[in-house]
Amino acid sequence: MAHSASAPVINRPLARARRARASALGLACVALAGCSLSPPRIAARPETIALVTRESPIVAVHYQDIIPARPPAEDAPSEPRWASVGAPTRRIKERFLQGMRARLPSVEVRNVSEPRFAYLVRYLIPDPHWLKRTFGRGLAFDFYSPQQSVHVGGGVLRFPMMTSMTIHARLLRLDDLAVLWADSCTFEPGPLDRGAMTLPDVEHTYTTAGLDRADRCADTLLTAFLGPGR
Amino acid sequence: MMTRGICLALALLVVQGCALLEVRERSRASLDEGNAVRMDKEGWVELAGVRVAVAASNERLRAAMIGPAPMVPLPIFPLPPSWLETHRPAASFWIDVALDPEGEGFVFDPSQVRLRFGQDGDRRAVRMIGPAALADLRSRRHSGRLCGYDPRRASAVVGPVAITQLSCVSLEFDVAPPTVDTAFALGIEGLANAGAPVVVPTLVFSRDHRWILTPLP
Repeated sequence: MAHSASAPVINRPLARARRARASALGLACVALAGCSLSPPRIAARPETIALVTRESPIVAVHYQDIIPARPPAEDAPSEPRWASVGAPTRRIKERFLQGMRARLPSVEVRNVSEPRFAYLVRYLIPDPHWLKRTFGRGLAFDFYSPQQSVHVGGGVLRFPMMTSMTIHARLLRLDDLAVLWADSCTFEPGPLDRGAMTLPDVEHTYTTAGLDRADRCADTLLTAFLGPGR
Repeated sequence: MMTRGICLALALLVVQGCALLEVRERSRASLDEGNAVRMDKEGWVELAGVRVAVAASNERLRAAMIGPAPMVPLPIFPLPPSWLETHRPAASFWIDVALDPEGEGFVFDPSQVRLRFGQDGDRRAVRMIGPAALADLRSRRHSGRLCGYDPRRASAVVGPVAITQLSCVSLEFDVAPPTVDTAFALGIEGLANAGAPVVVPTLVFSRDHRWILTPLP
């Protein structure tokens, strides 16, 4: 009895320490989740695939993949000195759609050719609010690649080596901005073409081998979306 | 003891950094009083299906102060503005026009934009850049400009462009940037939604100033 009466007194500091440790752990988890740069992966469920086959309209967009960063000169525009370069999202989007049409012939997706501007939010991915504002309703696939800064001088790349590129793909329901599917893949872009920085999109700066690796990334995303059996 | 105290104070100063306070002057757009359309605090004019904002590039640094930031920023030492603004005076005047459309039907023809200085007649843009992305909040706060730039799109041909998303167009006028005391107006015509013209009220520019407090490492 005495033992049981004194137990809470002995255990109180221990319990307090445990609570403090749990709180600290909880806070750390919240902080880490907030700092994480990877958006959560959301697997496509069978009903999502079924929705894609019957929903209309469906649009597919990609985001601007190359941005020479320099304000307009006050006398004449000159060559940019830095550029932000991402994965060839237009090509990856088109390969993904091509594969999807081959495997789900009834799906009709409108391929939006003009790149979207990425206004980033949490996890540093584009805010889907802007897609809703443009397309209103229906479903939207979007393809986004975080960009890397490269040094450009006289229209050519000074340091053409890049680190791994990641492509984030999503399927969004625009009515309520629900994310129905989200996944990403990573590939090695390899060295870029030094002389191609004045061309209109990033695809021309990639070598054939780099583009092949990007294509495989698109195939991986499609398999992740449809599942291996389809 | 005294030396150690001074060292500690200096170390704290270095660790905690400084703060820079800038006072900037600019020409800020507003709407005539009595206009049924309203402009929000961020400068967006809300119209049917589209929001419009403009920014003139005649911002100048009026005064700057720097100082320690131990717990609260104390920018108490004045700095000559010429130390911070070293760029040469601009030969031409840029105005950024940001458009936030709803839907895909908007077309903007910057050749229909008119810049008016008193009775001097209208001026039209001689060059345009865009549509480009809107600059991020931090850039907008520091530069006072709206557009994030894409020089590949600089064009001597000022003509219609489709506006299918939140975008920004920079327009160059062949005139030296006016001082902030000069009143001028901007008439944005040439904006249409699915072929129907969208009437944007004339925007009048007048002197304004803003304070920017920047923590320095």
